Amino acid sequence: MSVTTSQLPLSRLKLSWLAGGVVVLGLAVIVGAVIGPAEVSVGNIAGTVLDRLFGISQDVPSRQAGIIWEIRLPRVALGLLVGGMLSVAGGSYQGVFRNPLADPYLLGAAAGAGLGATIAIVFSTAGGTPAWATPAAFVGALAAVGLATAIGSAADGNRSTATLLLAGVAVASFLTAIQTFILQRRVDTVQQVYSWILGRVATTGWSEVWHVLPYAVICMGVLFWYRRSLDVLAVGDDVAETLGINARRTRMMVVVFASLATAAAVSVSGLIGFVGLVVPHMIRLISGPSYRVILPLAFFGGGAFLVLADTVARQAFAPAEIPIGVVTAFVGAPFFMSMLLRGRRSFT
Amino acid sequence: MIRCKDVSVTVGQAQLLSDVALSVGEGRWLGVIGPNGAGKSTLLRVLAGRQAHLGIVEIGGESVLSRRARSHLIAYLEQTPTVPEGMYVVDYVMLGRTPHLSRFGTERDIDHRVVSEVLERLDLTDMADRRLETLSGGERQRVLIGRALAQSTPIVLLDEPTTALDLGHQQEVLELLDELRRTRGLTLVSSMHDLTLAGQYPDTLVLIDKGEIIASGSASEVLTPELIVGHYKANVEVLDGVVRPIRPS
Repeated sequence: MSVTTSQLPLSRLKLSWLAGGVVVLGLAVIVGAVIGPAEVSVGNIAGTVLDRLFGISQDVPSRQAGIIWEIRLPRVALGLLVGGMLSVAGGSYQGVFRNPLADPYLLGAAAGAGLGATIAIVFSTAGGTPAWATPAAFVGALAAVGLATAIGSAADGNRSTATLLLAGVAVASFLTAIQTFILQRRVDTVQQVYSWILGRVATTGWSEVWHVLPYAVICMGVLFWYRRSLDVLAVGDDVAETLGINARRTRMMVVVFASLATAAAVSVSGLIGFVGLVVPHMIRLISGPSYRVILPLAFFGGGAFLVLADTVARQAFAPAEIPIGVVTAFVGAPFFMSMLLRGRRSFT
Repeated sequence: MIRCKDVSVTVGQAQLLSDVALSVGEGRWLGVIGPNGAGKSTLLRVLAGRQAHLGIVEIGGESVLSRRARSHLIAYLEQTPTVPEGMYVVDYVMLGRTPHLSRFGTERDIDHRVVSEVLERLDLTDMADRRLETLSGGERQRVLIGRALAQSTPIVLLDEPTTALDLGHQQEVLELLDELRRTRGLTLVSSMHDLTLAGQYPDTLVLIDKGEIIASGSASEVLTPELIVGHYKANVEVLDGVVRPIRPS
């Protein structure tokens, strides 16, 4: 045997890539925390974090500390979590459905969340966007995905993913129709509903972060657990089964937890397009097709991308904010096109 | 090692296999031949546990096997496998080690050793970092066989393993399989189209047609002009176990 084991050029999460991901994410967090209407220094940010987290008293003016702890950092943290979750969910869907166009909203999560939020806003007696718009959107997203998967697997007990996708499309159209009907009856709320749907990572203090965090931890944990199985599924269900992988259960678990992550993300941030579709592809172009590598890097990439996009969204035309979905597409699409041209290959 | 009794497969109205009985001893090589649509692939799918069926299939004396236990006993190469585009040769062959990995899916030294050896034996070492879609048909077929061999199972099921290969590589792959059979006691079941090769490598042949076993035994017992003409609808002559097509005059 002339090949030594260390020469096997396996695709795996290289430490350098992981370190790169951490550095990029770290830089994005610093940029996101520093840039804003009020000037804040990196030193003061570090001081505030040390003070609040570890009780190590630092000499940071209280107004600065307030801005950093109550406004900037929660927003950065939320952007990081939402971006990371959408990106990992999108990558997981692309793997499980073997479809490059799969995005986190594939199974109707967007339509369900939209309907939930619409109902909350339209029927809120106090006017404005009520606090229960977030849980309503969450329930809506879960219900939509649950309905799509239930119909998909009832109609087609075997392995075809096409039926599941079609069920998702049907459920989404149905829920969107209901939403449109409600909105048409209450035209006065259209603007509010749309500004909710268009997406933002605005947060008041840490409440949204705490809402999303448990879902992020659980869903990312499960999806990362299944990342090697996703590689095995790429060889087809029959061979995957003979390799000891329960293809159906793997697919179901990945779909359920990617959907749960999406629902949680949508419920706090509305519909932010592009991250879940394109970030995993960008990673794939760099790292190759193994999901063992793609999924962890997608979390860092998605988080960093959304934190930076949000910084642009709130600063470009300050004090007015542009919807973050506009920024993600405006910045991400040309970047992705250039990568496609340079790499001269696409995912199939 | 493998024993089937009264195995029947019906899909919709179609009877794909009827009352198939066969047995393959440890370290033996069973060649499954028959015309297109005879049921060869269905039979292999039944043995691989991928086809619902009636009747009894015993693998290593067990008729009920968990998915995991089966993955340690049987490797299966489909006739037209899904080739994941973009995947590297070495990663693909390493997928064959899936049943042997820990819960965390990390490869150990033994996994690296087995994959290195398989790449070496199938002359794939230089292609280890190539993407699957950049390979020729023959190279790809060797990679697919490599994945099955890396699984290190006592039984390997191969559905038309040499169809895409040129003559030299056909011989090379079949010689390798035969060597593994002789040296490691590998039990092989392969469906084959090329009747000349089918006559040379497997020690036992079964001829199936329309889902039924027509004949089984050594090459000289199965590869007779009568059986080939009758079931392949072909004009042939058989000389010294070599089936030769003859143009109708």
